[in-house]
Amino acid sequence: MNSKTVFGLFVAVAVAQVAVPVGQIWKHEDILRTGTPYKFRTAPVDPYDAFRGRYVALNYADTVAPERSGDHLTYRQPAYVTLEKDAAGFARFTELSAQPPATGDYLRVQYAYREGTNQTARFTLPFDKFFMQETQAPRAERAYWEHGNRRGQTNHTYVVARIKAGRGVIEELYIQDTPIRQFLEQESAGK
Amino acid sequence: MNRNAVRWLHGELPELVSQGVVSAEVAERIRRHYGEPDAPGSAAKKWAIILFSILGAALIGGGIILLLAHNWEALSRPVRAVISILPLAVAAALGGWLLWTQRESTAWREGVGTAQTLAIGAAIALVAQTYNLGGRFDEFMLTWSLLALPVAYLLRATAPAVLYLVGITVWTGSVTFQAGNGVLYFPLLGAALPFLWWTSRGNRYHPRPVVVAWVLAITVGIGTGFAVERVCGKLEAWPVVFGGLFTLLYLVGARWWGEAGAAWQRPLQNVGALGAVGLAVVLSFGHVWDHGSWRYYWEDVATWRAGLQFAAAAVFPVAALALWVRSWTRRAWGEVMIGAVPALAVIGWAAALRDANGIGMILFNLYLFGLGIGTLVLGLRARRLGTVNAGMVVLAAVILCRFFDSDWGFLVRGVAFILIGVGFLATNLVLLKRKGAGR
Repeated sequence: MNSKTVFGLFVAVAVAQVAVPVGQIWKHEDILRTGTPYKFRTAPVDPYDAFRGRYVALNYADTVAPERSGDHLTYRQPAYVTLEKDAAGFARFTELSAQPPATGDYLRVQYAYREGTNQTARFTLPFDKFFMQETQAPRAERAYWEHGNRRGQTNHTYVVARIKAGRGVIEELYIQDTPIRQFLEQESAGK
Repeated sequence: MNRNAVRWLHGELPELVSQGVVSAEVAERIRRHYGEPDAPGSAAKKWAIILFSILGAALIGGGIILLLAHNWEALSRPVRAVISILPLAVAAALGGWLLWTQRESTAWREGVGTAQTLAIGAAIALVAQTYNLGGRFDEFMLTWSLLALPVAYLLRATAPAVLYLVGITVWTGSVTFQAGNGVLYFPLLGAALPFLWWTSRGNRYHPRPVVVAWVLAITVGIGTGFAVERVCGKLEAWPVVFGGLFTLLYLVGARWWGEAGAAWQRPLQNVGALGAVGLAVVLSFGHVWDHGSWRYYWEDVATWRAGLQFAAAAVFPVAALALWVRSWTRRAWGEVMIGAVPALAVIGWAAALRDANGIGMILFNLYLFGLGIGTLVLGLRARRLGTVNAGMVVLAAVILCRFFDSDWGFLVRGVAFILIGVGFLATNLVLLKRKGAGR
């Protein structure tokens, strides 16, 4: 191969390498700007990732929906769940199917398993990590166990995610209706 | 040509001329034929520069990844976007400059290749962090590996190829645990093999192809285990698959890297022989052949996915047996002995499928015993202490394993040990007599 061809190929590869993160930024910025916000009840726990940093893993409550009859979904198969908002803005899952619906908001999820004999099934939401500064993530988990998880107050830990065309991006994690970072600041100021 | 030998020859020439062994003219012609020896330490210096450039780039790139992983909340999303792209853009610009100015310096290419590889990882990791992308670690590794591989080919850099081999192995393992299809490991592996062939064209004992071959030899065993998990696990054919794989590594190494000067230049032979003999020791235990659970898993085995894995897994023993036949025709007895593992594993496995569990165990005990003695004899004939010791280690391993192995009764073990010991002493007597007769 002559050196001009190698150089041309290298430029093409470099463009592709840059295009992957740029494309991701583009796509997710668009969802954050124009997507519909929904609230999802959740519990944060604190794992660790060497490359991406610390995050709180999000454990969602009630990720269950009626399965459309005739769609024989299997474990880990991609599926689509339609969403509705209740009065407080929390997401309610209405139907789980193998094909995306023609209208309305929906999310691409991963099918888990059918529950018992009725026609409802569990699934996993695609956004299950919330990245935080390394010292903040363990504090967020502690704050959740201390404040968010009291009897009758479980509604008070949730994320707001923007949904568009089957994809969702987390905007913020809230504890007791306060954004998590603000909550932690208030907590340390109060001590 | 061995540099130390050239240096020695150059040192000898004046003495040879003064003693009249060769004429000054011949000495000069010898000098010109072999060329000036490198000044002592100059090769080491060259290597230090290359290694330091790789280490420097790796540490700086790793440091950037760690700094970004801290997750700076003060940074706005646009600033994060710039930071995630910038190191990659700089590394790519440096790489482009190297190619444009046609710089051949290995230190530059390896250093920039390492930096660019790490910059790709940093960029996609930071984007995932900024937008809370829930992607799994294996997806991240696969994207990273695939984007890095072309850098290996275009900059002729080893670091991206090493990352790629490790990355696809991690991906395969993770995907298998997630109940996905890991058999894609083989096409991904295939994409890296031309790089090994290409870098070893000039000098296959050069550290660059040797490093890639080491990483390949170590990762391929792990990756294959995951990729054909149904064949190895559910169908219980792991003795055949790994026997084939390790033997194939050994025979390919012996065939194409057989004239290596130092042990570190024989990655395929080292990993292959160690793996094959280690496997044989494991297979000499009776309980590993207690098969039969495949009947319960038949539904999992009789699927297209398992069929694909079976086809991929079959390549290893078949290729190993083909090379083994060649070893017989070349009368390369060392290769013939190691190469027997897949054939024995096939017999043992087929017998175990028919509930004849003892066959494999007996075969591998006899094999290890024969291998130990055979290696010992080859070493004694060639007067190579290393080979003699390897034979002793194999014999010691099989004897120790059987001494403590509760699969056999005390009576059987005791009698067998005494008989074999008597056999050794009788052989010694015969040898001593012959030696005496020859005097």
